[in-house]
Amino acid sequence: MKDFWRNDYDRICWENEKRLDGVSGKNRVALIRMFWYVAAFPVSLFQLEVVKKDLIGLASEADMEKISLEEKLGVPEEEFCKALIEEGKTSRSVEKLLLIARDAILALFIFYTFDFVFNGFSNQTGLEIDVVFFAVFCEIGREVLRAVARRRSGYQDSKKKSRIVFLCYAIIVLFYVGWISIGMKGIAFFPGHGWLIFVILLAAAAGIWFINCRYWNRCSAQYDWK
Amino acid sequence: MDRSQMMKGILEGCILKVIGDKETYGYEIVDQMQKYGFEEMKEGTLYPLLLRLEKKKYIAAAFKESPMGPKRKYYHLTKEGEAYVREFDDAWEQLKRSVDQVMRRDQ
Repeated sequence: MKDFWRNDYDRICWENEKRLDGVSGKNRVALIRMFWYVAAFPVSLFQLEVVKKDLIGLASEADMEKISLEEKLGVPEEEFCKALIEEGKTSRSVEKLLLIARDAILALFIFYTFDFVFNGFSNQTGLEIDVVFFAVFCEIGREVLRAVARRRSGYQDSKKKSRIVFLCYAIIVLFYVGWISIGMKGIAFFPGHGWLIFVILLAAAAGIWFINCRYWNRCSAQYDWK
Repeated sequence: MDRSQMMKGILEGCILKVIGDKETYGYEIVDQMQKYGFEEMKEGTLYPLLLRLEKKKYIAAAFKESPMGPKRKYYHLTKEGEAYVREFDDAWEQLKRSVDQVMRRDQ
């Protein structure tokens, strides 16, 4: 039952956000810079949070000793981050896709729930192409913008790369807007009664939530983080 | 002389041995290693090694209360880690004998 509702990834993210509030000044700035830098590389999302937890602990100790985080580490930040990346390199495509799918399906479910609450359940409705694509594009876009921000932060000057990524996404968005404008709006690729659509979306939302929680809880068992 | 490549494997074995003596945490490991002559050892060089050793399941960790404030991560050796330390010890003895024979052959 616990696996269905809660997952350790959200839990460790929340704990880290809370503990980061306890770190102040230059050490906090240094931490955030290091986090964004490491996150720009293919490091497992869960491992990244475990590393963040450890680093926040080090930074808190550095705060108490009234020294900088770099002094505490004893090596330059960038060198330390590169060593972390070397140890943590792994593919995280599955993790990213899982989170995108979860957020997109939940967004659709919430959207259609509000639609049904305010407009009622119609006999002739369905999952509209533009709505589904919009949900997916928003989630992909959020990841793209995060990746751009990560690449722009940190120690490397990769502004040119981030501009290219941003431009690609802007082209995709313009294509989508143009496509909708020429008449794809309102076309349902999965027509049906309102109730049927609602039940399908509810099942999809519950399913993706369960799969998501199960995946992250299994992932968390590989790490000593509690 | 660039000792870094030689050091990587040696450091793993030595760190595991220090952890094997008693459950310990990062700063204490650094302190011990420095006392044994590894003066370049810092928390920043230790932490990625600990990550690697955790991944290999040679060590496991648990957060415990610390007098300094935030909870501290304490490391202990696993059964795989104990076996690795024994293998490392044997390999090091053999290597030391061989290198000594080469370097001191004229003596």
